[in-house]
Amino acid sequence: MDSMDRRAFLKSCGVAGALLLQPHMTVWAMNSKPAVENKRLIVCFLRGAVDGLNVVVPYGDPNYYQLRPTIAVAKPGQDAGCLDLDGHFGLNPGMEPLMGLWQQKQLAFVHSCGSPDPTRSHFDAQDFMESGIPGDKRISTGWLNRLVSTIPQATKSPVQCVSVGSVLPKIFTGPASVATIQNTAGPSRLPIDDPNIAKAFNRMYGDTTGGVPQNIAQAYQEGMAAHKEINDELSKPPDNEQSMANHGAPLPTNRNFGSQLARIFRNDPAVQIAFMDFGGWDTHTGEGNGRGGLANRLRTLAQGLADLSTGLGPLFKDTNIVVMSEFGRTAKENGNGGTDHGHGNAMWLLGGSLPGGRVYGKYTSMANADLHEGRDLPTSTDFRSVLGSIISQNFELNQKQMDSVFPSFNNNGRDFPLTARTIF
Amino acid sequence: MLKSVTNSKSLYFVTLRRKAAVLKAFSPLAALLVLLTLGAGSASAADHDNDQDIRHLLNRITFGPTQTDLDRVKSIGVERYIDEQLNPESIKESDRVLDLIGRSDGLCLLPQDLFERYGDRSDRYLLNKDATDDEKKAIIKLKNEDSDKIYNDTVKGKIVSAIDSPRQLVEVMTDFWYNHFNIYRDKNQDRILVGAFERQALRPFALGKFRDLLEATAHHPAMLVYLDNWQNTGPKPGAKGRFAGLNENYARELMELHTLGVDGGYKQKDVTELARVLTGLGLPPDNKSKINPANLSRFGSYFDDGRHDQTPKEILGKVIDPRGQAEVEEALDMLAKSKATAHHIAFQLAQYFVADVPPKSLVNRLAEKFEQSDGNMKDVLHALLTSREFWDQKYYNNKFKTPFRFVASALRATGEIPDDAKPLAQFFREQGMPLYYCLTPDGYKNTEAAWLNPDALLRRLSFSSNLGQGRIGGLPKIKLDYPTVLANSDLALSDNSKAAVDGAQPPLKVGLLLGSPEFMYY
Repeated sequence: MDSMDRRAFLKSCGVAGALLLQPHMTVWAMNSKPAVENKRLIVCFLRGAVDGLNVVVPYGDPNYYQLRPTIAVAKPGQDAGCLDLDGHFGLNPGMEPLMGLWQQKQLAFVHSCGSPDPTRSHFDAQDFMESGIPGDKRISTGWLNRLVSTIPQATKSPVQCVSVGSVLPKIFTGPASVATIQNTAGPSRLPIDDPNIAKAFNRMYGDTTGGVPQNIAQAYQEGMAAHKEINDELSKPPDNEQSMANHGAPLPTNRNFGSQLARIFRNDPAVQIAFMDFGGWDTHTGEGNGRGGLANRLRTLAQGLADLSTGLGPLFKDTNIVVMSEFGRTAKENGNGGTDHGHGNAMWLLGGSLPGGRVYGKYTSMANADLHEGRDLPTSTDFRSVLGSIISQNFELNQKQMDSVFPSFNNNGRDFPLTARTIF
Repeated sequence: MLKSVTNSKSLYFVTLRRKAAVLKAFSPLAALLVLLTLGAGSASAADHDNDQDIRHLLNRITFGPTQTDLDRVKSIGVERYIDEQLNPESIKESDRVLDLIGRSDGLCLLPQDLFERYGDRSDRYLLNKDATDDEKKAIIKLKNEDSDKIYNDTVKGKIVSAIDSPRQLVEVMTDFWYNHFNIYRDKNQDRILVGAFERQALRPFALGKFRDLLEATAHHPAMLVYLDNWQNTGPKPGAKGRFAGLNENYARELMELHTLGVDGGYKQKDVTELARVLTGLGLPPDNKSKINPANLSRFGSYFDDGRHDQTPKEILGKVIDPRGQAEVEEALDMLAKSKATAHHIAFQLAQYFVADVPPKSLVNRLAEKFEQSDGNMKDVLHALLTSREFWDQKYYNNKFKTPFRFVASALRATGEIPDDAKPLAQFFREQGMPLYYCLTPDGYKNTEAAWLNPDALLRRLSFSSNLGQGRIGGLPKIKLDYPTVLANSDLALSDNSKAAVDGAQPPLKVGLLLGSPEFMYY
């Protein structure tokens, strides 16, 4: 389908926008559901605003090549050309490790997606996507933490939620406890494992009536509990389906993050929700095309995500992985072979039971009239309708529960839970 | 009390003169009452010569108390101590710090000299085309060693200064400004420039005029590299290569982070226009014969007229006529004088020195002081340190230490000065605060929400335990004496913590003290 046909077709979809319905998609909604406890969600945030137009490349849109004379990814089949997805979009060749999932229909994208707030500030935009309440800076909790509090759960584990990295991100801030881990390579022995030291610290931090601030007392308790549980679980021999290469490298900058995170999920059934983030996507200069800075960085990430989905093994069918970034980048390349801050972006979805193999979303074109403020992709799909659809389905949340995860978001008047049919 | 109000020329004084003038007409007594009541808003520092207040002051304007500082405040009083810290030229710098700087190229050389000695085109690295692979490898190894040495010296310089410099408020404010004008070390030539940036563009102006800080940061090659402005170029038909057009990265962060603040009222159009003003502000050309000395700044930037956009611009409703590099200064003047900037800096200072959610009354007063004094940080900090809010006991010990402050205060308490800072650098990495490696231009935060989390806390306790038992590498092997460390830290342990420390075996006591909940706050 050439681009004009495609545009005509998209328009003909009317209210449903660009959603291309396929028979298999209804399977998503009708899947026989395992217990909510078995569902897993992994959110991966690309900080710095990844250039979605060079990740999910609209090679069928001639405007793309006009606006990006030096950084456009070439058409499929050409040197360092994109990998064809559907005759209109192609993947940056750096994403090659994920093509297998695409073919298995376990990978999907939502293009021209993002936050309705127009800010081009990295920090505000990240904050809004993490709080889940764009435009309101007073929100102190993150949507992922509110989700945890909402999921019906028989038993709570200190490692139900795992944040990979050494600081707790906004998305996980809130009343539910979250374990932070920075090295998944194996059990670590700390001085605090010395019973004499532990006894003294337990006394100092344990007595909240003695004037210890509640926050630090709680952090201490959770830290000790998670440390013990992770050490216990990681002391077990690794299961035989995975190769556990390169132990010892810290997350998330290492290329083994996928297999390492998978191992945590496999070894400890209590782990249900994880968050990780990666920086370095702010490509104002030297972005490259099918080769170069962005392509190289994508390859590391894509390989890690592929390893993660493989490493999850049988768990993958109950797992959703969402990859998001605060906003997209300018349609036109700037003066230095890069792109500046934009608006709409592509969101990535991976999951064993997804209706994948599709680029969703209402992408029209990169013609000037279709661009937001004449320079960026618009955000035709609110990121919360994508997230809302996934979590309401997986965790069987009703409208009231969804309201606590994404307050003040009415999803264009449509109720949760959504199905694949009504999403996006 | 009245004397201090007059001296500080605070907002209160201005307000009160106005109100007093009205009131005086009908009752001199009422005017006096108003004077007294309003005067209470900015307390005299002299009222605070007691142990608890002295501890609070040292907690906030130093990287943690030491016996030396405690003795100094107690001998000259809080008010004079503050004045002394605000006038650092009156304090003799530590010989150890001076020696360290003098011996480290990364800290004492200007960017142009660093480029010459350690840049890609340095003779040190130049190879002929026929070099063998081994020769090339040797050169790469040498480059990495040079750049590692510069980094290690820079980290050591920062830590030793924070621990050992008697000009503590300068150190504390340098930390503040570094995070305000953050630079990430792994951006191209910034590998060799972050130490120079901190020493040349920030520290000398840490207590000076904000406009001077803007000048220095805007013209320092480290910033121009980090936020890409060295490539920012006016549109030219047919231009090619790395200088082919506009790059708005620096312009945006200059408005959003350095001056106006994200809610400072600017629009995308203003960002683009400012980017156009900044076109051509970059690095000196490699070919020295092409350098026009008039376009070279003392911080090392170079203004390339040929790459500057020569058409008129309009920023925040004000037209900027085309006049080359003078446009840059005009824009910086505008931004430095903006009310939004005053408010933005005031908020950050109040958050850094008083509370994560700073009292609005203080923010407003500091913003007025900022405007009134034309961004003179000495005046703004004086207003802050003599404010009612700063001395409000509800804010005492309510700030959670960043990993950097935690380590600096622990080493000030133990009196250990590192010979080798690499093991400490490793701890900062574990804590999510690798020095000079904050990737994003907003810098590291200083709030509890950013730094308190279970895993990081456990690692802090491990660090404390190891430190107390002499197990942190790179530190001099001295025997730590618990009563001395306790006295240095001036820590008011809770009964519970005290009992836990008292009940522990002697070799564990220092580690427990420095791992106590009380030591995590300041």
